[in-house]
Amino acid sequence: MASAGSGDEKAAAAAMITLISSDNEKFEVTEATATLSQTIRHMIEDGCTDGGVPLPNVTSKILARVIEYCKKHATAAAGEEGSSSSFSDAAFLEVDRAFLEELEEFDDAFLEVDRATLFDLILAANYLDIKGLLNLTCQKVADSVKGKTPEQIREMYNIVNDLTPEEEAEIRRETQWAFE
Amino acid sequence: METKAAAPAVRPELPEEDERMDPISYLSVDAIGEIISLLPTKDAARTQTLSSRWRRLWRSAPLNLDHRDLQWPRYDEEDLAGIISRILASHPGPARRLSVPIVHLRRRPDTVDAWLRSPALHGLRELEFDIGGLYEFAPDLPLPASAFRFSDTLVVTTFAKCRVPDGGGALCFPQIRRLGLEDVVISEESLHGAIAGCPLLESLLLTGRSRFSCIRINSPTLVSLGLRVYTEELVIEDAPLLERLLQLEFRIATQLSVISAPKLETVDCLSDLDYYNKLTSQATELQELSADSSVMVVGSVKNLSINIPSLSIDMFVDLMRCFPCLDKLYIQTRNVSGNKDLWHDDVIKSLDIRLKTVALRTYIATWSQVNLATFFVLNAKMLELMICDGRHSGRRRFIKDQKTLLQLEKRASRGAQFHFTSSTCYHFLPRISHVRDLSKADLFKCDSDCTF
Repeated sequence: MASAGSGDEKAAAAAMITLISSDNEKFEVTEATATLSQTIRHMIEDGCTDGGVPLPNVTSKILARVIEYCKKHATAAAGEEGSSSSFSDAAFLEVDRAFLEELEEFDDAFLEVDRATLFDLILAANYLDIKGLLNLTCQKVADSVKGKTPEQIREMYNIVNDLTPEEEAEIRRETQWAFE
Repeated sequence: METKAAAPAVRPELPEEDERMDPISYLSVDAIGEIISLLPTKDAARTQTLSSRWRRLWRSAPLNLDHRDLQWPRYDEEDLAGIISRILASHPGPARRLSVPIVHLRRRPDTVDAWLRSPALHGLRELEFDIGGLYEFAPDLPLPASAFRFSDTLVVTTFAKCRVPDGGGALCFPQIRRLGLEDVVISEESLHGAIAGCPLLESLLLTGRSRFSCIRINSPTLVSLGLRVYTEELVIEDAPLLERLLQLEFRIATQLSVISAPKLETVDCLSDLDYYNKLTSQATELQELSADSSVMVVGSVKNLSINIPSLSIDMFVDLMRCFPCLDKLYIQTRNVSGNKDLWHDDVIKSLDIRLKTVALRTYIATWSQVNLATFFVLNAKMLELMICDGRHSGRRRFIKDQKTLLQLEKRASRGAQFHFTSSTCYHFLPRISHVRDLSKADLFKCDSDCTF
């Protein structure tokens, strides 16, 4: 960003970043898309993105999905930030309700993945610090757990209960209100 | 991009088909914390018994404490307050959300104050004082001063039955998106101060018995506004993003002026009860609605609902002129006064009706209702659906008579459908009981089993 002179705003907006997945696949994305990730935003600010950003914790399969999410949501964010930069007011107003509805539909469809992919997405969202994606994916897990007994949840997610009966009784005593 | 790599992942892509593994165990404490804080209060606390790792996680996840999640089995008020105190004492914070009933603010203000000062609530984003059905409570509670320690973090807040101190600076929340002021006492100055003091405000719900002479809306961010108050005048001066204006029944004569609201799409509940609504453009002179008055034209509005027990044909004509681009119209009226020959008058025939959906509620086929419905049948060229809903409307005999009465065979839109229904809900839509309802996707969709 430091290089962006007065006439270079457009060039800066279209600046491309290369992301490199754990299996060495390269993805070219715009800076606007990449900076939905706070982790990458900080890397850009620190000027350490030359030669690409290696993401050793994210595979190409998951990175492709994450980029898909960021592209869609970056369009919405561009509208919001636009009013203060190069977008005219008219462009700002273009980001209308229909687009927000489309975004919701996109999110719903985006979540239709198998469980392994869902958890990989959570890991990636967490590592890349993409708040919206983390919230979206965690909500899906929370919904699947809601109203279930501990036994049902353990079975659903193969959680091994390593608590002794005494420890379990102690928890129940401490938070009795949750078990009534 | 589509190539299936051999995946020499440093970590952590999960083995895809191993159903026996525990996928949650791979997540970071932060991610599991996010999941826990999205659960209802009791569900969240119960995760402690899943395993020894989970035992510690509830305390490290942001707290989500909603009294509604604690209602079962039914506790008395004292017990519930005790449970809230215990939860707050056992959690180190931070917190995502706190919702408590206002009854405690009246009966045990010191306890509520202690709750709000609890370290568990550090970083609180959502705070709700739930009116909890106690509408008869006098709106004279003080604004809980200790709530303002969250001024910098609150995103969603509802205050109820409070008296907002005079002077503009009482409600200033730099991060707030949704603000509900339910049955509060607030001065005009404080209301305007609150709108100005919340620079990111998207939804505002204000209900109460305060009397206003003029509410002026100036907000670069407001999208939805819900009002149920006494005001003589409502002026939308400058609201570039305002889409929904839900007036939720004015109780006195009101003049509505829209100066600048280019995105205003939904206007609700223009109702008179005792007096006329008066619509003017550019805040010019007051004009009662009549066929020859100069009404404002708000071409952006697509959805309109009106609840006027005795509409006149002149008012109807003005409304259609004022909102020439309507897609959906919801009308609740008993009687449409005026000479029925007016329905065949040149003025009314010159209206360009582009409605796609018309819903007539409390439809019992009085003559004036029949005339109104027939007008839409004969003139709405783009009509897709007309619903007539009322006590007897679902009966077969009634429907058969209506087909003839409303001249359905002469309908202007050949593809239109006509539904006659008798629903069991009598409330007028939309039903707004919380500030979050203001941003519901479909405001006019009823939650109960009726056809709307």
